[in-house]
Order: sequence, then structure tokens, then C-alpha cells
Amino acid sequence: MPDRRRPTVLRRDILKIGGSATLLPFASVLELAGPIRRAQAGAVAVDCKALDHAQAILLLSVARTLFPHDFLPDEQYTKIVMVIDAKAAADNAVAMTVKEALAAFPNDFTAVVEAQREGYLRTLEGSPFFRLVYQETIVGLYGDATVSTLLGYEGSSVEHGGYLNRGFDDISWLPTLKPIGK
Amino acid sequence: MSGVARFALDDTSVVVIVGSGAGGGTLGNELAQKGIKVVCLEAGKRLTLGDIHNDPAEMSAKLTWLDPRVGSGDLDPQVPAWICKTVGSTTVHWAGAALRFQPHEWHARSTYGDVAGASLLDWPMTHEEMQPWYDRAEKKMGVAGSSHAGLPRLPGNNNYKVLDYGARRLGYREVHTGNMAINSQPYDGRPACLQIGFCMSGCAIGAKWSTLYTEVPRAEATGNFELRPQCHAMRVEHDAAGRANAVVYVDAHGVNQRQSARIVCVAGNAIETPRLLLLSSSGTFPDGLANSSGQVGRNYMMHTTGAAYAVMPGEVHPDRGTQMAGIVMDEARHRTGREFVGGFLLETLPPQGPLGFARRAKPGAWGRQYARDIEGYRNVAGLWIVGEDLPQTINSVTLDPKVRDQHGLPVAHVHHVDHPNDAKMRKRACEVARSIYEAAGAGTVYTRGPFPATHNMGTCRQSASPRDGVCNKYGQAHDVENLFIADGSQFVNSTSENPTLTIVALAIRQSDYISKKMVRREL
Repeated sequence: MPDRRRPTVLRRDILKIGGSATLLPFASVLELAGPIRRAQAGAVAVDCKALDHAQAILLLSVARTLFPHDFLPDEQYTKIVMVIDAKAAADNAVAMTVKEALAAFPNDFTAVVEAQREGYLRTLEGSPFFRLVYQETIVGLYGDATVSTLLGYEGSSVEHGGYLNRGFDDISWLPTLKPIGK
Repeated sequence: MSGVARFALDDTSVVVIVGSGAGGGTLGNELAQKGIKVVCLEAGKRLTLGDIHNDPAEMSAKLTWLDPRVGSGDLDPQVPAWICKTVGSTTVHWAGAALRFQPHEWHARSTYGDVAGASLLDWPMTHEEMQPWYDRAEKKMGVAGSSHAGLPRLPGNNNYKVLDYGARRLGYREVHTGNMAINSQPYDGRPACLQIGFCMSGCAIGAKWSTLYTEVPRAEATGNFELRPQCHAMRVEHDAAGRANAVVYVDAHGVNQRQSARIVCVAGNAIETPRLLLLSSSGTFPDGLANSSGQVGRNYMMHTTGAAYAVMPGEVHPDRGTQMAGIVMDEARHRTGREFVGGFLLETLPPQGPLGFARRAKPGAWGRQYARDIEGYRNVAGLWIVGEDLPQTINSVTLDPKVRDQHGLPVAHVHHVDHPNDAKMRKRACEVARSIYEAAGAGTVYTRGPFPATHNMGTCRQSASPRDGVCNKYGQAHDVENLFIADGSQFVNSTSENPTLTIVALAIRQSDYISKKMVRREL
């Protein structure tokens, strides 16, 4: 019998995430993610080639506003900033697109509440800057092995003998629903 | 493999098949088993099971036809359709759904009547005529749920159980794990399914039928079959009498070659097959080979598709287990009184990772609520809608006037717009999908339109009259008697079923027809 490759739950607490009814074994998330750090200006050391420090912090805030996951540390979003910076360093047109867009941001963008940041970004949807940052963020975040594991993706299974004996049909909550009476 | 045949380029006795997928691979093996010499040209590389990994991104890069194409209408301009370029072609990628057409679908024109804007036609054959060939296809492929293979249906995974529960609560009855060409028990020298997931990235253990490790090696073992991978067909040539006599292709080293042929069979998927015929125009065939009807490339169909993803109240782990072993068939039945003709199937389909979910559930979405639903990835259930897409003359594959591929040839320009029937059907199917998941307790339910099409059909269709289509009921071109269409291009209508089983059944039947004609010296 292959071992059951389920996430290790160190603590028994099951937390509600984001107010939804979604239940996740959160201890495993914490274990993998390390200490939670919220986006704060200057909280992360960013070694950029094309962008200056302020621009990097602004981009980090944009990435987190696009796909805000409070349990992810800034380091995770910083990886996305580094990818955009590398593209800007390699292509002057990209650098101009990013720098010009960031220069037009409200001065207090990183300080205002999320709803306000979101409101401003909605006005940029469709722009080359937005498309670039959106694409890099969605791929950089959910294509990242650490993040996708945190979100419950279990990855390659063939080397573990598939899921035949590891829970392909282990759903437990369905039978508790009551059939519609007719 | 010393026993594998090698045929000379000037050997005029061989059958040349373009493509090694469900149509070409099956046809090639069936002919080789009958002692007929076959050269199979395949544009893609040959992978082994060891090359197949549980990594959708890696495998997509390995399997996809990445040569440029142009899309218009409702299609993505750069990626109008999604097909494979590899030995085994889409049978490496396919999810394994192996469903027979319903009786009425063989005569859709008569059943649905005159639908404005649609170029509907009845197949030039009957439902009954096809059943023995379906029997043989199911036995060959090891279809779970088929008495001819003698295999029980696959067990249902979590994603199936959610669909099953919601659908039954709504009163649907034809709900099961499908007829799947995936071994539910060891069969034909291949192992039983281990519920690995990742079916569409290629089955790493070979439990899913694919010509890559069934038809192709068996054909080679006869000594009558030569596979030439990385050989891209560029043109079919003909003699002064208008008979096909060679295929010109560019080989793995980039060198142009010309293989003589007694018979040519084209099975390059409904995108590349019409393209090849259009590229083969000549003084005798100015509009493209076998195109006196003007129907080559017309009536392009891709199924009316869409998808639904639901965030359920508990864990589903949708990537565990067989991806498409789950189906609701009730809505596939044609019923009068609906606002559309034909019907649709709902089939389980996982999002394939958080990136797949984030990109596909609601393309372009972002923000707090969307991120919250992505955080519920463990709880996501998903399905795919597969419905009948009505043929329309305007939907087509043509040669793009501007864009050329790496060989200097005009690329396929694929155009598709929904018929109003398609739009109504998709809307209804999305409503049904939503209702099913809500009946099972879903929170957010996302429904969406098509992905780039993997089911491509109709662009060299069969017809009783040479005026209405490209080939007869055996796939034999009306205009060129030794030219055959051996893939989904010959479909007359899309039906609501996944096309592979019917392509295989038609290929087996075609091999029977060709071999008998050859014996009688009629070909």
C-alpha cells in the first residue's frame, strides 16, 4: 500500500479563509509558507536592475492587489517583481511601459485601502502595463510550485502509484447533504 | 527494431498515410495487418511512455502543434484550435471518452429539418451500418463500459461524485463514469488505470488507448508499416489521369522528399487535412485536390463547448483520478420543443492546477473575491460542455493569404462563428451546469465559453452526392478515387459525442473497403 501523501497537519486548527465557507487545513499552509508578512513599503529587499526601489515596492503592491492572498509573504510577490524587472532590463520598451505607468500612479497608492487600490487598477485594465503585470502575476504566482502546493495542488502522482489507493474517491462531505424532498 | 519495414521513395505499391492519430494510426495498422504496405508520415516526434510526465505545462509544450495559424470570427487570432503534433497525435492527449453517435445523429438534416443558416446534411450511411464497426473499435481500444471489450466502467473520482450527486438531485438519470477507452482492468497487454490524473498530458502507464503504443508498434511488427516521424506533408501530387501518385514532404533534416504512392490517405486533423488538399492545387485541380464541390475546408465544426468550475463546501481535489470519467447524458437527447436542436453532454474536467483555474474559471478576473475562490482550489469541481455545433458554410479552414509557416507554406486560416443554435445551447448548458453544482451545495460557480478547440470536424465531409461534400461514405474522395480522408474531416455533423471512437470505427471500416478494392484491383 503506497503511503498516503496528504499534507502534514501539525496543528489541528482548521481556519476559515477570507470569510468563505471554504475549509482548508491551514496549519500545513503556515508550515510551508513561514511567517506571514503583509505588504509594507520597504519590508522587502529588492535588488532590481531596471527599476528603482520605489518602483519595485509599487509593483509589489500592484501584484498583491491583483491576487491578494494574506497568507503569502511579500517574498512570494517579490519574485514577480523580479521577473518584470528582468524583462524591463532586457527590453527598453518594456521598461518605458512600466516606468511611465508607475509614474502616473497616485502618490499614496501603497498606503490606501485595498478597495481604493483596486479601484485605481480597474481604470488601467486593457493597458499594455496592466496586461503585462497581470500576465506575470497570474503565472508567477499560481505557476509557482510553492504557491500551487499551498493551494492544494498535489502535483505529479505517477511515481506514487496514482491515487487509486490514495484518495481519488475519498470525498466525505457529500452524503451529509439532504436530498430534495419530492 | 530490425523487423521494421523500410520502403523506397520510388516504391509505387505503398499506401501513404498522412498522420498517425486516431484515424491515420488505426488505418495504418489495420492495413498492415492485412498485408498491405504502408508508409505513415507524421509531422511530430515519437515519444515513449518515459517521456510522459504528470506536468501539464511540460506536456503541452511537447505535444502541441505550435506552427503558426490564424483565427477569426469567435476564435483566438493566434490559437484558433488546439491539436497535437506528435506520433499518436491527439490520441496521446485525448481524455478517453469513447461514445457512439446516437441513432438520430446519422440523419441530422432529416431529424432537425431545415435550420436557417446551417448546412446540415444526412450522413450517406445509417446508424445500423456503423454498429459492427463500433463494436470492433470498442474491442480494439478496450472501452470501459463496452460489452465488446468486456470491461466494466471505471470507478468515479471525487469530481465525478459531486457531478453525480448534483445531477441526480435535479432528476437526471443517465449519469455514470462514461464509456472510456481507459482500462478499468488490465487489457490487451496494457495495465489498469491507477487514477493518476493528468490523462490529457498523456497516460504515463499506457492505460489509456493511444495509437502511440498500440496501433503504431503493432503495425511495425507486421513488417508492412514504416513510420516516418518529423516528416511534414506539403503536397499530394497526381498523375495525368488525375490519380494521386505521391506525397511531397519535408523530412526531419529539412530535406524535401517525394514518396510515391498507390493510394494516399489524409488524416491530419480537420485543420491540416483540408489545408493539405488546398495546398495540392494543380492545373487539373485549380481549387485544391478533390475540391470540385468547393466543400474542402467548409463546414468547420468544433462542438459547442464551454466549462463550469464550482467552489464546493468541502474538499474535492479535482486533479485526483481519471479526468473525464464522469458524464451526464440526459441533455444529449434531441427533443422537440427546446429552443435549440441537438443536445449536449456534461463531462467531468478538472481545472488542472491553480494556474489552470485562475486563468480559465473567469478569464481576466482578479481581485479579492477571485483570489478567495482560488484559495478554495481543493474544493473546486469542474466539468466540460460538449454539444452539437451546427455546420455552416462560412465556418471554414482556408489558406491564409499572408502568414506562412517555417516551410514557406500558407498556414491554415480557421474561421468560426456560433450559429444562433450553438449560442442558445451553450447558454442552456451553462445554466444546467450551474444548477447541478448548486444542487450539490456550491458557493461560487463560474461558467465560461470554449477553449481553443480540440474537436475539429467536417472540413472534408462525406456526402451521397459529389456536389455536397468531398468524400463518399468510405472516406473516398469523390473526385480522386485513390485519395481517402481518414479523420474527423469526413464528419457530416459534429453530434454531441467526443469524436475519437467514431474516427477509429470509420478507419477500421475504411481499411476493409480499401483492402477489398485492392484485392479486386479496383484501386
